[in-house]
Amino acid sequence: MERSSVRSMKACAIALLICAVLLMTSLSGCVQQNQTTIKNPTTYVRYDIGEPKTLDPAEAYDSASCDIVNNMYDRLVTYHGNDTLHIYPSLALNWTVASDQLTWTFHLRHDVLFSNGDPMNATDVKYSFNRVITVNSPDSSVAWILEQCMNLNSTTIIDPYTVQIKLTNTYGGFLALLAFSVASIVDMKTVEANGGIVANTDNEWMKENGVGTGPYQLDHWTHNSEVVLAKNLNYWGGWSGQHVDTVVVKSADEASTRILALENGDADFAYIPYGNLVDINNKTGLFTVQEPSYNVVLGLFDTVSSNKFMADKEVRRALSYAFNYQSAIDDAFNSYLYRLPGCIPKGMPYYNTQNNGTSVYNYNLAMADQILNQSGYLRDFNFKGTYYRFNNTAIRLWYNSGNAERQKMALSFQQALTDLGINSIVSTEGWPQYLNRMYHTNEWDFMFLGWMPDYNDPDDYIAPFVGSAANGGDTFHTGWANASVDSYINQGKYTVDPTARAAAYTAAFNIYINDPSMIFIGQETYTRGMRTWLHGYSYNPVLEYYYYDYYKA
Amino acid sequence: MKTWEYIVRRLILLIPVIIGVTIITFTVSHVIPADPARAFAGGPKAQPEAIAHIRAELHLDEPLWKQYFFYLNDLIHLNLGKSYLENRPVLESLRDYFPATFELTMVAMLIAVPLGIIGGIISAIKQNKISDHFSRIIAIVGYSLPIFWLALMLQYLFAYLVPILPLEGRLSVGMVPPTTITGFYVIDSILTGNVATLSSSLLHLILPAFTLGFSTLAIILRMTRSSMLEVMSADYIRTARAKGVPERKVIYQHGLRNALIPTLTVIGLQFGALLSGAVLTETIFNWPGMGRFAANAVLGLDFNSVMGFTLIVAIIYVIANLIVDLLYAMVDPRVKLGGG
Amino acid sequence: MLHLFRRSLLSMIGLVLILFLIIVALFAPLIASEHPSYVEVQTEQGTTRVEERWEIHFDRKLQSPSLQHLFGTDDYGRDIFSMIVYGSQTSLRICLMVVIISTLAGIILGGLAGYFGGVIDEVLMRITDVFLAIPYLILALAVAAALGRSIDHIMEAMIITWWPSYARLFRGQVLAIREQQYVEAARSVGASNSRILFRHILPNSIAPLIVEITLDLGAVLLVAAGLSFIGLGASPGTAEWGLMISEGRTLMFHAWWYVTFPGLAILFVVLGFNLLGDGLRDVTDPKLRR
Repeated sequence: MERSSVRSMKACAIALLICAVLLMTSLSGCVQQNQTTIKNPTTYVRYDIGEPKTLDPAEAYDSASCDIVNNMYDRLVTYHGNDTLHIYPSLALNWTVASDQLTWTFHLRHDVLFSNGDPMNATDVKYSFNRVITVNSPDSSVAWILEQCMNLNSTTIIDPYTVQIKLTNTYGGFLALLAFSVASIVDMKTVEANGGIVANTDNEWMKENGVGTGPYQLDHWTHNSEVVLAKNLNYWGGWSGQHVDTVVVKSADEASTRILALENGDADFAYIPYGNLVDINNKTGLFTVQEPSYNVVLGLFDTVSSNKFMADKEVRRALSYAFNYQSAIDDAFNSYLYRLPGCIPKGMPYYNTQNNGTSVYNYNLAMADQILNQSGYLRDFNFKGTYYRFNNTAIRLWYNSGNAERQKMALSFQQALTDLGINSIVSTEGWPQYLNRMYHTNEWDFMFLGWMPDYNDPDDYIAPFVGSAANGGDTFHTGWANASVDSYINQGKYTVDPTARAAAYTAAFNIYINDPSMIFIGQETYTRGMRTWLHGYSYNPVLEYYYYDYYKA
Repeated sequence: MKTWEYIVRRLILLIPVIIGVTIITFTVSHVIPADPARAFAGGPKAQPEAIAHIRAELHLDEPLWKQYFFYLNDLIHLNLGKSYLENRPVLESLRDYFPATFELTMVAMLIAVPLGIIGGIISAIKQNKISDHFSRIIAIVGYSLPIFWLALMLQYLFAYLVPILPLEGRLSVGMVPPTTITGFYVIDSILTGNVATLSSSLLHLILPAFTLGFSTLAIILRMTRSSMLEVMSADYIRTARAKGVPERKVIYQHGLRNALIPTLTVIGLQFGALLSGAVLTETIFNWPGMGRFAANAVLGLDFNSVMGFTLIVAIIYVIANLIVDLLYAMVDPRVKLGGG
Repeated sequence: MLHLFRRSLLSMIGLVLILFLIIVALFAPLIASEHPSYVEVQTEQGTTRVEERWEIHFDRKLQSPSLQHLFGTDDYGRDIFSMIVYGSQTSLRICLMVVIISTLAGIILGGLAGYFGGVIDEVLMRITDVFLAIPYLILALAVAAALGRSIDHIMEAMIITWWPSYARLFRGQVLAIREQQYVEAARSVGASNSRILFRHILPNSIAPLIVEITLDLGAVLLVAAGLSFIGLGASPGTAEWGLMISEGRTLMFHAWWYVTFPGLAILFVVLGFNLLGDGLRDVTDPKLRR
């Protein structure tokens, strides 16, 4: 009896042991299987460069800040998916505009709560718009976007769910403005409890915190590391269907870091520069997003440079022929660039007013040579057997350091100029010094710069590019001005009739393209790396990321 | 002289050094013939009011000497100004980044000091044996390696080719940092009993700490070896041996104690070198510390951040040297504080 | 003394590495397979300078090492081997200029302070205290950022960073030697200050200085490469080792040769200087000789 009980205990122990081993192996099998499936299935992780400057809608102007603001807050109207041509309701259910084109009436949703549970109504809308204008963000001055057609008297509360906005002047792009992050609706109670509105002063609390009606709320923001958003349980859109619960935006300035994170699945989405796309192309589980963006690449001429020959439009025309556009596309941008014919990028209305979208200038050194010779700029300076123009004065080509694409374009432009008998210096400096050179000196002849959209209207491109400084343009300090172009720009801005707008933009194009103040190089392809397990993403050049649409499967 | 008197005297002597440091960094960062206001205000899209506002905040329209006094005045009120790249007070940025850098440097030291001393001792007592040659080669390669290249090679080998270690950062993605108690992730993880963040932060420390500590290891190894050799040939050691004291006791009790004194100085001096090295290491390993902050600030002309960082580093450096001198006096009774 | 140096294998390796560097730098046009062209341009200060230009061949970018391109090509299609060969000239120039000028500054200032003592000494030592309280890389970084991107500017930045340590070193030497009997003797026979400094003190303190210089040549190269790596050194398009690593870094996982070879070049040159310096130290400092 005793013996058998001992034996059975032994058997039990062995059986238990075997069970345990089996359990362990099956568990470890599970673990291994999990590694091949989706990492962090309810979390969306993006690896990107830089980090937000602020989370305050009244201050946000850079894309990293606007990204978070757009997801924490809602606006009256919004864009859907990849459609940039239509504007859809958001906090406003519908709206009407009076025949004067100045008085707009918005009817608000009734069921909206902020993430802290406060209800949203017309008071918050009025408060939000007036806050932007009063704060007039000293750090970013983004208020100018609303101030184009609104002031402190514009917004009137008709009833708790009806708001009337009376514009200070007609403006074709008004709804586009209301879709921009600066027009986000904030919770009046929260702001008032945390510093309120102080004229011409940014609210320090709102920089780092915030309560909105958007699908996500701030979980934490570790500077220079990550911003984490958690889902807003009060979101009026509800959480049925598939959505990610948590959003992590990591700042990782090294391209190699971002690539690796994408490859091992730590990241679902990552900013990958053109030159590195080869590293992720054709890898299983990865997908490359490639779409034409509104980000344009420009080569600017200083028409008032200390090198007097830069004032001559023939010199600038010749230089426009000496730029190797195809090499810029193929070699600097690895084909991730579209030719840009003029100021207006492809995808925006009135693109076709620019020579039907065909570029006037192409790489043609013979043509450039002919123009320079005809204008009297001969190769008459002998330096050790090589003949140079402009008395061997060098054209100063600048780019901001760290920008690999611009460095490639600059060095290859230099090689073309050498063939043309023009001496040149390629130099680089940090971004602040670079801007200082552009805005406060004439010690440059050619500089690269980009431009990104604020809102979806050609006026946001053509007026700052080729409008004169006197007309509120010449944003790049090229010193170029033309009265006729200015009047066409203003016609385009305030005219509502599309045919008349088209005619005005055509006329402007025909003038500025033959007296170029810049080389229109191209429109960047928007390139990002993405895991194929991420769904619901669509590229929208205006509202770049809208996490509510995302899910992983 | 009493110890505390000595400390107070040294701390008072710190004041002119700090003022000197502010003068140098202020001059260097303000003679740049460029106005950063537009960059801080958002670049080409910056509105004129925003630029004017920043210029006023930075007193850019005042003469340079006045700007310096504005700066000193703020400094006396413990205000290091605003970091425009991060859009918050410099002091806040430094407070956030300091623990990361300190943790990294301490771990680098924890790797470098014991390995360096042990290597140096073995090298010295086995002079001209294979282990000696090996550690001498380690030493000479260690302080000949470009630190940034070492970092890249380690990343290539251990995070890409054989991916066993994380490439960058302090914690794995999506991991919530442990509750801040000290700011050191390792210690905070232990204090809060968070095993996940503990293992993750330790793994993340390996490559950057090794990169940062390698040259220090090399220098300590060399120093220990040569001072050990010197001490071991000294008369009193010969006497001890002749008296029949066991060799182990000779080495560890008589030799090492005296040989470690120069090593101690080197360790103190290495703090400065480590803080320099942190600039490159942190940049490559994307380590959210003061070094990376400083590099970004220098490149972005963020004067206030550059000056704040330099000031803090100078203070740390001088204090580290003071501590070394105190330890010196403890280890070696022959050293008199304040003498000479 | 020389036989001691010759007996040390490591010192000989150092010597060979440095001789190799000098030969490569001198005969770069014969060794490299491709060559830059040189163009004279005006600087903003109105002076002229000669710029080095490497021809761009985008059609052969990022080729892995082969017989034709021993170390492969970079993303401009330039031959990395040739650029490393020509880069040795730049490296050598940076090291020598920085060390020689900061040594001269150190000798003059440290000598004055050490010899005359008093107020001069006190002021100078307090100034060096301040400089030495700022980590050298940070100071060099800030100065280089202030001056703008070019090789000349990083050399200036590094001289500003480096002189205080030489000044201190030389002051210490002078103080020690000043008290010695033969200097006392020279003074008693009425030798002038400059004669004592140049005939007695300088020659006797030069040996430790040479050791320090040799060891510093390597350190200078490391700092210069680090500055270039961060983006403050050589201007784009020049063959400078730190810059090459910096440009190859984002492509590291795709083109390992781009960062590896310039790094090895730096490693071997710094190793050479350090081995040589160690050897010289063993020879000149009898305390360490064993």
